[in-house]
Parts: sequence; C-alpha cells; structure tokens
Amino acid sequence: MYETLIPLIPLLPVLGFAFTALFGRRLQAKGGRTAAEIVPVGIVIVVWVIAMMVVVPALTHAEPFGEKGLGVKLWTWIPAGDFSVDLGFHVDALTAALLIVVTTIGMLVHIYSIGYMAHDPGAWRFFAYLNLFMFSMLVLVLADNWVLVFAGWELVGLSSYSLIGFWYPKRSAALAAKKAFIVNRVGDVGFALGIMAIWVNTGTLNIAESLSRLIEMPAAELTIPLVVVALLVFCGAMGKSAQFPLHVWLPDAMEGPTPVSALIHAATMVNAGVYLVARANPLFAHAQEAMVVVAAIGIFTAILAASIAFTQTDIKRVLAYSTLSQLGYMFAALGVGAYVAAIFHLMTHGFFKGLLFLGSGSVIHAVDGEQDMNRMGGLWRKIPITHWTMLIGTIAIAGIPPLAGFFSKDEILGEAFKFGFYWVWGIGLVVAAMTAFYMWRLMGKTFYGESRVDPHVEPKIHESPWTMTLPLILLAIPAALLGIALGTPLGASTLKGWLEPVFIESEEYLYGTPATYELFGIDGYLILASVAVAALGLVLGIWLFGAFRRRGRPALVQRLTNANGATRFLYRASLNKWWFDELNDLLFIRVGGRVAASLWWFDRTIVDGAVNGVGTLTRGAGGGLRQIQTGRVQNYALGIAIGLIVMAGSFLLIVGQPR
Amino acid sequence: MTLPETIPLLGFGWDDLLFMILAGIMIGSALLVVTMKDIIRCGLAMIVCFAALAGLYVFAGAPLVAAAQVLVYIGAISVLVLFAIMLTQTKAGPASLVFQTQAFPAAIAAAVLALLIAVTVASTDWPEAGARIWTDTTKLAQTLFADFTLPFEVVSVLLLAAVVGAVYIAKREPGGSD
Amino acid sequence: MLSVLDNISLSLDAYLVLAGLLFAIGSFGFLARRNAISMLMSIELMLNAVNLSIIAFGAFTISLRESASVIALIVIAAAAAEATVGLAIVIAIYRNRKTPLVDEYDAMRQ
Repeated sequence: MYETLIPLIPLLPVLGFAFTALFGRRLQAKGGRTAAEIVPVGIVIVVWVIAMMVVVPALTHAEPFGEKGLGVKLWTWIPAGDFSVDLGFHVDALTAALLIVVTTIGMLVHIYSIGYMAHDPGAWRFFAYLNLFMFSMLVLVLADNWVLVFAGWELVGLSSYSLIGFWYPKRSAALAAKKAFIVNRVGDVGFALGIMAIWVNTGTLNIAESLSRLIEMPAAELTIPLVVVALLVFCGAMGKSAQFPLHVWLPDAMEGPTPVSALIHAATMVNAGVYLVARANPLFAHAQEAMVVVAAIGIFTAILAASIAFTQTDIKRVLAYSTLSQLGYMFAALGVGAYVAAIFHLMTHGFFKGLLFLGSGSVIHAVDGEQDMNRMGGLWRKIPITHWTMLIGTIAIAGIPPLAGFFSKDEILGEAFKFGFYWVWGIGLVVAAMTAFYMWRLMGKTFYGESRVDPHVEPKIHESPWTMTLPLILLAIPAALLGIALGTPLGASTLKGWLEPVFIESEEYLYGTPATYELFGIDGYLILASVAVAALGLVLGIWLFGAFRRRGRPALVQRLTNANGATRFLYRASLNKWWFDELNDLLFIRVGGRVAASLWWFDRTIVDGAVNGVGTLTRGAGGGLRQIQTGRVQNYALGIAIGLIVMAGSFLLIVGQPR
Repeated sequence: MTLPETIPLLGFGWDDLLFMILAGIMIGSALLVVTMKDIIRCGLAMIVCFAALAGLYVFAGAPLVAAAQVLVYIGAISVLVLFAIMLTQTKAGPASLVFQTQAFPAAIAAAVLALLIAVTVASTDWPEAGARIWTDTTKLAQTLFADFTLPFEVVSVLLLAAVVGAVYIAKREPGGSD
Repeated sequence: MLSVLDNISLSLDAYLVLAGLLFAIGSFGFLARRNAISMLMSIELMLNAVNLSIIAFGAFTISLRESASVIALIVIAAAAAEATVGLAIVIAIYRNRKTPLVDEYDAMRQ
C-alpha cells in the first residue's frame, strides 16, 4: 500500500499545477476564484491526509518502514552504463519529520491564500505556482538519490522565483526575484560540484549507498577529500537557507505575497539546506573541520541577522531577519553535532514562524496594505484573533517555557555547551536575548500603545475573514504545544527516539555514548540560563515598547540610539544591513564589471583580433599572390623556364655531372 | 688548283670552316629574329636561319631532311608567316616597344638555359662514330613507309586537320567587319 | 689554340651545343617579344633546334640513322601544321582586337 501512497505525495501537486496552469484562467473567468482554487487547494488537503498516513508508521519505525525507512523505486531515470540514476523515493524518520512541516504548513497556507488573494486577478496563477512549489519541495525531501534532490532543489528555486516576483509589474518585486534566483544559483554551483565529487569518490548517486561508501573508504582512496565534499554540499545549503554570505536574498524576498513568505521563506524552502546537511550527516561527521565551519557560519549568521532586526521598520523584514537568525541556530546545531535538536528547531520554527508571517499578513490586510510598523499601533483590540495568535508566536520564538521554542532552542544551546562548543553557546545566548527583544519590539510597535495609523485607513481596520484566521488558530496550537509533545521527557524526548536511527551512527562516531541528562545538574543550569536571557530580552522590550495598555518609550529609544558615536554607528550599521548589499554591489557589479569589461576588451581585441587577423592575413596574402596570375602566357612561360632551370641546375649540382 | 688539307693559318680543315660559317650565320640570324624591331625583317632573318640550318643538315648527313627543310620551312612556313605579318600590321607597329617588361629576366633565363645545356653536353661521354655518316635515301624510304607507317598516316591527317582548322578560323565572317 | 676546332664538324658536341644555343635564343624570343607573330617565329626556331639535335644524334649513332631522319621529317610536318593553325588564330584575334601585341589582349582582365 505504501508503494502507491508515497509516489502519490509528489504526484498530486504536479497534477494540480498542470491542471491549474492549463485551465485556471478560464475557470476563474467563468466561475470566479473559487472554481479555479478548488482543485489546487483540494489536492493539497488530500496530500496532507496521505502524508499523515505515511508519516505515522515512518516515525514510529513500524513495518514496512523499520529503522532505515522504506524505499520506492519507480523506474530508472538515466540508464547510461556505469552512471545510473533512479527515480525513487525514500521515506525514513527524517523525511517524515520534514513531511509533517511541509504538508501541514503548505495546506494551511493554501487555505489562507484563498482569503489573502481574494482581490487579486492573478489568483489562479498563484495557486498553480503554489502547487508547483509543493511538488518541488516534496520531491526534494522524498528523493533517494542526489540527482533527484538537485532536481527538486532547482525546482524549488524556480518556484520561489515565480512566487517572489508574482506581482511582476512591480519593479522591486521582479528585481528581488532575480536576486533570489541568482544568489541561490551561486550556492547551487557548490552543491552540484559536491554531487559530482560524491560520484567521483563513490561511483554511485544513491544517497544511502554513497554515504555508507564515503565513510567506509580509507582516506587515501578518496579522489576528493571528505572535507571538500562536505563544504561543497554546505555551499548549496548556504544558498538555499540564506546563510552568510549568501543571505542577502531573503529580506528582499519579502516583496512576494505574505503567504509566500510564510510558506517558502519561513517554513519549507529555507529548511531545505538544513535537511540537506542533516541527511548528509555521516559525511559531515567524518569531516569535522567542515562541521566547525558550518557551526561558525550558522552562529555568525544568527547574530548578524538579529542585529539587523533591531532597527528594521517593515514588519515583514523583521520577520525575515528573524528567520535568518533562527536558521543560523539550526546550522549551529548541525555543526556541533546536535542533529536531533536542529530538526526539532526546524519543526517548531516552521510552525511559529509560519504563524508569525501569516499573522503579519493578516495585520497588513487589516491596515489596507501598510507594512511600516511606525504607522501601526494600538491594534490589539481591533484585530484580536490576529493579536492573540501572534502573541503566542512571539512568546514561542522568544523561548519562554512551556511553549515550543523553548524546548528546541534550549536543546540546541545545551548540546552546544555539553559538546564543548562554549563560543557557540555564548553567542547563542546573546542571540536568544536579542530575539526576545526585537520580537517584542515588533509586537509593541504593531499592536500596543497609541494608534499611529494613517487617518484614512483607520476606519477600515477589520479582522480578516475566517479563511485567514483559521490557519492562524490552527498554527498557534502546535506553536504552543509541539514542544511539550515532541520534546519531553527531557533528555530522551519522543522526537529523539523517532530520529535516532538516522543520526545514531554519526553521533556515536563523534562523541561516543551520550552522557545522561541531569535535570538538576548541568542541564538545569543551562535551562535557567536560557530562560533568564529570554526573560531579560522580553522585559527590556516591554519597558521600551510597551504592552497592552502600557505605552512604550519612544523618546527613550531615541536617546539611547543617539547616546554616543558608537551607538549611532551601530544603529546606522544595523539599519543598512551592515552594508552587505553595497559590498556585493561594489565587488560584483562594479569591480566585477570592470573585470568583465577588461575581459571583453581582451576577447574583442586579442581573440577576435587573432581570428580576424588570420582572415586579414589570408586576404592580404591572397591579394599579394594574386599578382602572380597576370593572365599573360609569357609570364607563365617565364615561370616555367625558371622552374626548369632550377630543377635541371640543382639536379646537375647535386647529383653531379653525368659521366 | 687543289685546296690544301687544312687551312694554312687557322689549322682546321675546309669542312670545319664551312661548318663554322654556317653555324655563325644560323646563330646570327636567329639573334636578329628575336631582337629586330621591324617584324618583316625578323621574318626574313628567319628565312636565312632556316637556310643555314639546311646546310647544317647536309653536314650531318641528312640531305633529304635538308631538302624538306628548305621546301617546307622556307617555302611554306616562312611565306605563311610573312603573309600573316602583312595581314596583321598596325600603323603603330614599328613605333611601339619591341620587348616586354620581362625581357631582361627572360634574357638571363635563356642564357642560363644555354649554359646548362652546354655544360650537360660537354660533360657527357658520347660514343663517337668517326666519320660523317650519310643517310641512304632508299633505306630512309623503307624505314619511313615500313616502320613508321602509322605516324606517317597520322601526320597526313594532322596536316589535313590543320588546314581545315586554319581556313575555318581565319575565314572572314560573311558580312562581318573588316 | 684554334686547332681545338679541328674536325669540329665531326663532333657531336658541337651540333648539340648549337642546338642548345638556338633553343635558348628561341625561348628568349618567345618570352620577350610583344608581337604574337614574333612569338610564333621563336617557336619555329625552338622546333628547329630540336630538329637539329635529332639529326645530330642520328648522324653519330648507326642504329638511329634512318629513324632520326624520319622523326625529323615528322617534326617538320607537325611544326608546319602548328604554325598554320597558330597564324590563323593570330589573324582571327587581330580582326577582333585590332592589334597583334599580346600584352594588349586584356578583355578578360579586371
């Protein structure tokens, strides 16, 4: 039965895409939006049901999944002698965890979009792209060989491009889509090279086989060292999951509609990189230098993004940088070897970030398209459902127990400390405080205090329709409870039990048998530390930005930022995203442009010049030699005579006189 | 009075003197053929050259060929040449350049060619035959009509073709110019 | 010194050198003259030079004696045919071009 169900999971969305792409416009014109939307949304709901049917046995290691998971091979995609690639899917516990996030949030976003795109004439296109995206992401997580993963990888990038640039008449949207695609491409080159390196080393592209061969081969036999392969694969993850320095596309991607930001840039596509590194964990475990790099880049991105989120005024940008920061946490976890913690954070983050994005979409809908937080305020009474669900999401992300974020974040920090990565733990702690602070800043400016809303918009503020608030409520539940559901009992959590077979070999290779969990020993102190800094951040946020009826202190904020040169510089740096876009522009557009221009000069003058020179030379030689053909017989006869003399004379001289 | 064996002062025989005179006439007239400005005079010098050649043929023991030379070359070909010169004379004939631009290199090439031939000839060991040998005409006739029958017939056809062709080529177009 | 010329008429070398000299003169005339008929006359000189050398070989080689004369006769006949046709062509061209000078035949030049 599962052999049929599993291929259905990616198949249905691609059929939905094809159907909507072909017939959507006409359906929408004739029968209104509902007619066009019913197929894609229906399909995604069906996919969710099927996915849940597959996920439950996969996570609990029931038959036929077992510990290693179930593989379904459809057919041989590329039979080319030695090089053979199958079209196959493999579902184990890790895939199941991702499936939960992708299908659930995908379904809720589809339902939300019915309401969000209610006034948009291009709604059918939107749903077609959404289905395409679901297909791509599902292929990516279900694939059993690297080439299929790469195919899904690229398709996800394409879907992201289409969706970010959905309102393509708007120039900034088109540019943002282009930027996302190009920066992704840079990472994809690394990933492709990594896949090639894997093939060169092992001769197979099946994920399970290649990984087991890679770790078994002695180092001398490897054509390309494991560290290089691991770093190349991480390149791809950097691009897709927007880690430094390929993080520049994610904030600009907020040009897309809010459901897109929720689905792609919070819950699913950006998690593809985390999934990739987690899937390749044996490779990384045996290349520990690469793991340090992953951890370093991850935690650095976390603190960089958090610092920028302090000053942003666009509500979606704050959430985008928050996503960057949390992704950094996940990579830091993967880098220190806390694989289960990373996946746990992936799942909880998917839910509460999705909730926050959809909530922000609801806010924007309520204030008639305004996205600047300085023009919001005092909304908590007017859009209560949005407000309360977003409050739950904020507390979750801040890491206050017993909400979901606390469990996953604390596990990451705890493992980092216990494995000896004190610097990761320290920076992570600071970032936790920063996260709580800027998230409350968002809440304070958006919902609390006096209303700074544009007077024309004020009377129009209304709660969103049920299609938009229902997903918010549905997402608030896991945001609140998922931590308790999956993360307890502490130290030997349910999720850990499920994901154990995927990671156990690498974990034992790295650290031997794990130490026991001491709730009243070191682990307890770590929990206290995490909660303390989160609470500190929240208190500071409430003090400066207000809560409920309590007003914020904008004047104090102003004074603090202008206190001295250092703070002013920090404020400006944060506001300008640490000038990375300008740096990229300088390096690649300007300097790169000069290099390109000089190479173009080289190509034009020297290469083309050589080629044209050969032509000119030939023509010149031809023109010169043409003179010999005078057309006069006497000239030719002279030539004959001279030739005859030369031949006879040289014969005489060389061979000698006849005797 | 009988002639002495060898010429008193010069030391070679009368035959050789005649030979050298004929040879000199031949070469001299040949040079005149190729260098004179007036083309009719070139034709006449050519006739002199042919005549001298006929004399040399006699010296080489081939009287029939000498006769044929006189008959054909001087009697027919030279006349033909003179007629052609007459028919193609232009008013600007004698006034224009005689030689081409490449005359100087051509002269050098010709000189080198002569040198080469002379060197080759001089350094080859030819088998001597002693006295002059006269060709017997009877034997010549037999060889011509017995061994060389086919070339003989072919040559006659060739002459026929040449005559027909020449007549056709040089014919004036009916009602044409000139 | 001049005694080296003794019996010169009996030496093959003399005839051959004369033939070569005549041939060289003929080739000079062919290469250097402008008038087409002069070129044809030079060709006749060259043919005669060849004839002389054939006859010379025949005079000094017993087995070749008659054959040489026959060949010479045939050469004379061929030369006559060739001169005929060549002169006819020159006349025909003269009618067209109004000049017997070969370097003025440039209708096909660019």
